[in-house]
Amino acid sequence: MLMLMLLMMFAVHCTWVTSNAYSSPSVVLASYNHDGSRNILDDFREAYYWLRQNTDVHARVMSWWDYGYQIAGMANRTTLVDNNTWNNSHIALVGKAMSSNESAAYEIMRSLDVDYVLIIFGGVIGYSGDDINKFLWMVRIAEGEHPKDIRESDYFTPQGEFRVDKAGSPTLLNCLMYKMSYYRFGEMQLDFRTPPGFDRTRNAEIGNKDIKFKHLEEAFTSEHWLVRIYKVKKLDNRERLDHKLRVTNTVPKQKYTAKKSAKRKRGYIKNKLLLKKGKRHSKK
Amino acid sequence: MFRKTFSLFVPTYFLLICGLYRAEAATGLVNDEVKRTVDLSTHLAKISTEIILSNEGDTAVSSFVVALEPELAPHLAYIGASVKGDEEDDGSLEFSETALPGQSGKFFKVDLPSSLASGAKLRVKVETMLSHVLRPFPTQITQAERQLVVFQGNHYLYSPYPTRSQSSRVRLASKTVESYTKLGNPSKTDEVIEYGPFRDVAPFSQDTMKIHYENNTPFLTISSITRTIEVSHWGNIAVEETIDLRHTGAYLKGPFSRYDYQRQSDSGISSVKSFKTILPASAQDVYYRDEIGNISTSHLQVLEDSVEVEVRPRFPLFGGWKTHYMIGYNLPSYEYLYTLGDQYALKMRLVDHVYDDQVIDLLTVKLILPEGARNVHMDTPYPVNRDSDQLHYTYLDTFGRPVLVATKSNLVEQHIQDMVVHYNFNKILMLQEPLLVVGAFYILFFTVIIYVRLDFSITKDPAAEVRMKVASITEQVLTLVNKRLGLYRHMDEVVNRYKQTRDTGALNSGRKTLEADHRTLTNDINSLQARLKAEGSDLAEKVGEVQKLDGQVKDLVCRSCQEAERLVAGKVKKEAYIENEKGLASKRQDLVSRIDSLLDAL
Repeated sequence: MLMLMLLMMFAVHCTWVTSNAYSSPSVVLASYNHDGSRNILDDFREAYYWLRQNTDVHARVMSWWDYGYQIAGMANRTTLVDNNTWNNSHIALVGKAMSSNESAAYEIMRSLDVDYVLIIFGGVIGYSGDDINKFLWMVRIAEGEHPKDIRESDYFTPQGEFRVDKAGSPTLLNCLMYKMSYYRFGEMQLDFRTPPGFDRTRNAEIGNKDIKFKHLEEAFTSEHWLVRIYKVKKLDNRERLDHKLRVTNTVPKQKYTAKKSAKRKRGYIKNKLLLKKGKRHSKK
Repeated sequence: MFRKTFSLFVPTYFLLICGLYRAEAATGLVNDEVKRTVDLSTHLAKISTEIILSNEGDTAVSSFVVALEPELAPHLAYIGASVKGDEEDDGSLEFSETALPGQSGKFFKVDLPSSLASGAKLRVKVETMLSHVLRPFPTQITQAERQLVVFQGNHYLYSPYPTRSQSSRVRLASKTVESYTKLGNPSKTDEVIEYGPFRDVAPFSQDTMKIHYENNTPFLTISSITRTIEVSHWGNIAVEETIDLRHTGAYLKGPFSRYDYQRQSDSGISSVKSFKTILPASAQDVYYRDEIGNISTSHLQVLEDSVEVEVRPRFPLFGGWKTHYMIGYNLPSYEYLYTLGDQYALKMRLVDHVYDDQVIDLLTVKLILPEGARNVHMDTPYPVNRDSDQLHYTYLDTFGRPVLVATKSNLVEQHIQDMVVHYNFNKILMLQEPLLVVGAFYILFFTVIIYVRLDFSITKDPAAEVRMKVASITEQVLTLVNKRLGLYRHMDEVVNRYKQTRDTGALNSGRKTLEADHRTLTNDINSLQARLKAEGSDLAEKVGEVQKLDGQVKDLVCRSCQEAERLVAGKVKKEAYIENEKGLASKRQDLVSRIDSLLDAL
């Protein structure tokens, strides 16, 4: 009798272990605290539902193809590329946009008429399936179609490492994916032992903390920073000047005091140009 | 200065006008003293006016008129009046809308509980709730800014009767006031602005009061809510509300920074993170979901007289953002459904609590009654628009359940009141559902029973037929052999009885019956054997063997019978008899076991 009970409990236990280890859902993440209580992270559905409710019905979302069907199903929005992956050159375009700097990426986004960009960032909670970990694949796929513009070796350090901290390659630190992942993250200090801007997934302090965007604007970030959505701004009416404006209202160091006396003195012009009247050539 | 003289001229001019239009104003009612409290501390404007009405006419008056400014009239959500007695509130008074010719605005005729005699005074309290009357200004703010709203009202009480003295008290949501109109030198303390007292104000006088102040309270509006109530006579009422929620404060301009929102306490101060919904006390199985699945961010707390759900939308609501969700629960029907014979009455709330100070732009109530409900009649505490009844088909329905549909716009918290629906329902119809299930299973089983017994083969299969025939014959053989063996046992009993009683007659009769039955059974088995042979089965030989063995057993039985006779007659000694008997019994046992094994082989 006892053996029977034990065997039945064993079957139940095995079912529970395999369901937890092999079949747990990946849209809703769950973590367990020290006292056994469950903490649910519903970031994906939060961001997709925000997209569904608060963006224009015809808005176009650019993201990596992994999230295409989820965006189409839950957020009900048009995507550029999705899990079907039937168009490799189109995926390569998206990869090129993610790996270029902001201005080059903006050109691609304007040509594809993109309204929102969606990325997954796991640095706050230590989620290892985020876009920075997949980034090299985006680079490789883009290099396959645009070998002259994207080179995978540019994104590694001279020693051949893929690093996101200060020693990382400058191409990586200025590419769109990096900037979108770590925007405002440099100010965030997760706990007192680590410096602000410490990426929990890569276990490194990020290199580029002061990120500013020219053509993108942060539209929505989910509660644990897992999903970040940026809005692509329309072209400005006027382009901003790159050079500094000339300043003409400088106050001279020495204040000019008139040397005129109380008596009215006739003023004179300094460095007056002497007018030399010319003689008309006689016609004769 | 100028204003005071002007206000003296104005009353005389207005009294002339009022003299021409005598419809209601000539009743001689005068507002002696008016104390108005305008509560602007939430996103609704709650104006509560205490009026001391005095009848200065000649005749007694049974009703009076309450007016609302034409600019505020479209925003009116709720208006109610009560008479303040000496002890306590005397309950609400009847309202009906009227129109005063030549005057703009909304007018309501309020019936007094008892007519006001000439010269008497009465203290009345009028409550008005106005929705969407606080305009956010600036209309777009960034996440770091605070929300400022403008309220445009009236400094005076808009009334068809002249007012002797009135004062207003405006309660704001915060201390920060950008600007406010200053009529008659108002005083402002922390969150309250006091206007007045204004003396001798003419009827229908208006003076724009504009207050621009900071209001960071949640500006949530339910743009539409569909409340579905499904009544089942098996003891359950299922309620489901589908809600479209929108933030109607100042729109969010620019980016939404999660970092600022989490790290700074006053970032996004006018956004809504969560709110509390209070459900009826007996609500069970509460679910909170939307189109893409269950929403995990909520907390349920079961209290003594209510169930509180702290509802957190998936994302915080900033200005201009909206969300959509469904909340549903089950209630036991004995608390809300009353019955007397065939008549039923359902008493439930027309709209329930969603959040404090709620504003609903459009309410649709769908009431699904059980199949067969007739003579449906709905009593609502306030007028609603009834759409045509629909039919709803769900489990085990044959002719559909009747659905009552009612709609109403612009509701506030005061509209949470009970409605009563009366209908007739024949109790026999409750059997319809279990009978349908039973009938369905019955038909299924019946069909299977018939199907199994039918032969749908296209050609006759001889071998299968022969096998079936042989099987049936073998069964019959078995039964007959068993009966024969039973005969032998019976014979044994008879012999034993003879040994005891020495009754030869019984023994002989027993022997005779044995012979007779044995013969019939053997003949039957022989005929069956012949049939088996005819079918060409090899079991016939086995049956022949059984017959042979059986013959031997019969011989043995007869011999034991004879031995018993001889024992009784004394021809043989007891010990010898016992030995013989044992030998015979063992031989019989052998033969019987062989017969059994042969029968098993069959």
